[in-house]
Amino acid sequence: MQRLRGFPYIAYDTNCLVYYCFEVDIPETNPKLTVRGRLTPQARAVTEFLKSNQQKVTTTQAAYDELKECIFNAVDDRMGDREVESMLGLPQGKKVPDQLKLRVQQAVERHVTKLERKGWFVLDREFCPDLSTLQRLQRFFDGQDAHRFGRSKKPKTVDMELVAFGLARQFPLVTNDRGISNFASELASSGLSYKIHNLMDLVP
Amino acid sequence: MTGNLAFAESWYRLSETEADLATAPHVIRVCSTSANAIQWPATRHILSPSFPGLFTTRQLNLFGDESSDIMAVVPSGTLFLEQKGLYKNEGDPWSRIQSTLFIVGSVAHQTFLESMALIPTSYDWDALSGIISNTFPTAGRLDLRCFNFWAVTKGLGSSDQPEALRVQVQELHDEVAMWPGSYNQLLLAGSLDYCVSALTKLKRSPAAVQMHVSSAIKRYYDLCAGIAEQYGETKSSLRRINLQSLQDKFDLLQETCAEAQVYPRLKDLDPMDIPLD
Repeated sequence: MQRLRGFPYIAYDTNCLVYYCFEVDIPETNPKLTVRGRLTPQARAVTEFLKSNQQKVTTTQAAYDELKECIFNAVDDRMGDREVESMLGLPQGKKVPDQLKLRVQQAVERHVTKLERKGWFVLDREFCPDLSTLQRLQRFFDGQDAHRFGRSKKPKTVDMELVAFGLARQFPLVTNDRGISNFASELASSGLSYKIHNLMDLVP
Repeated sequence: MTGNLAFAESWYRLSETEADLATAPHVIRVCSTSANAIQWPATRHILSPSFPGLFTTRQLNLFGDESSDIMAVVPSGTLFLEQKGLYKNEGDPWSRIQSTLFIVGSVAHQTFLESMALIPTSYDWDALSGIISNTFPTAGRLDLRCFNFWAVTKGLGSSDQPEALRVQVQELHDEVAMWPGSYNQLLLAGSLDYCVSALTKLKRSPAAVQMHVSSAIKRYYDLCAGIAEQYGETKSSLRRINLQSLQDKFDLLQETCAEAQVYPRLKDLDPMDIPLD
């Protein structure tokens, strides 16, 4: 976490925002259980650290536009865990009902969209990536062996825009995408990125 | 109503309003066919019952051994209605039907239907084949194994309506649940799943509440069915559309169900409240 100290802004990818908000009480009043994303405790610890140091979290409009699909992926992934099925009292092999998944999806979305009103979060609506930087990033990732992306997919345009955003603004980028963070040092040494940190590698 | 079935203008518009049902005959008899191979020079209309459970049917299925006869029928001037809805054979659970009704436009067919109408509720093959032979003695060849004959009765008791709607909504949910996952896909699947549960709980409610809530769910279901139909061929593009309007209507539906004390809003839902399959 010390690696983030001293920077006024820290760029987050959308998944980190979603994980920060992924804590849902069921039912909302007098909850009987709470469903959290697997990375939620880490996302909260990092974000609370930043907030306590008066640092701000930021992201690009393009990344924020991916919010709904990021929420769906996080919810769909988590609600398929046996751990969650068990919390809900479902027998082995019984899937979580779609209405409960929807309940969690809507709750996370409400929470994330409220971030826009928080003083510590800044949505950068102005950033427009430099085309030549994007082309160089594209060539860089196209030139990597598939196995180096691990279980992650090759970065999409919006991911590369975030890398370019960090570079242009000189903000460290926090991501849970190994498809980006695995290449942090090479990208930086090639002048294609600023500092990139994987969310899970940040020690509270 | 005998013979002259579905010629009333109100019946052509059966799908549009429930009020049309008031003008519909109490009992009509129609023929239906799924004979895709037959090319009919006819106009097609969609007959979508404005309320599920509108029809009960009694079916004479000619697919058995006794349907091997080749009968001679060439319809002309036939008006078609595609029937999409639910049917229920007596004693059986509700099932989905999508078949084609043909409605007589020519004198010969009108005679045929009038004759059909003379057959009481139980059809038998001899009576049916006799009518067809007498009505269309010189027509071309048509394999009647392609035909099903239905007696269609309008008007179920209100207690049947939530269950009939539940089957319909469940079916759409099961379909949408198989679509590529996305935020919008879960909105559709989750809200339809909610409707199924609400309809299950609704059976215990007084008749007036049943009518009020099931009407609200039916309106919501129609919206979802329209979206599902629109994107049925391009399922992955569903993720790119803005469904805020549907979301708002689902919020209102939850209010309706909660205020009627039928089923809680999603945010107030205890997993234990979800009825078992």
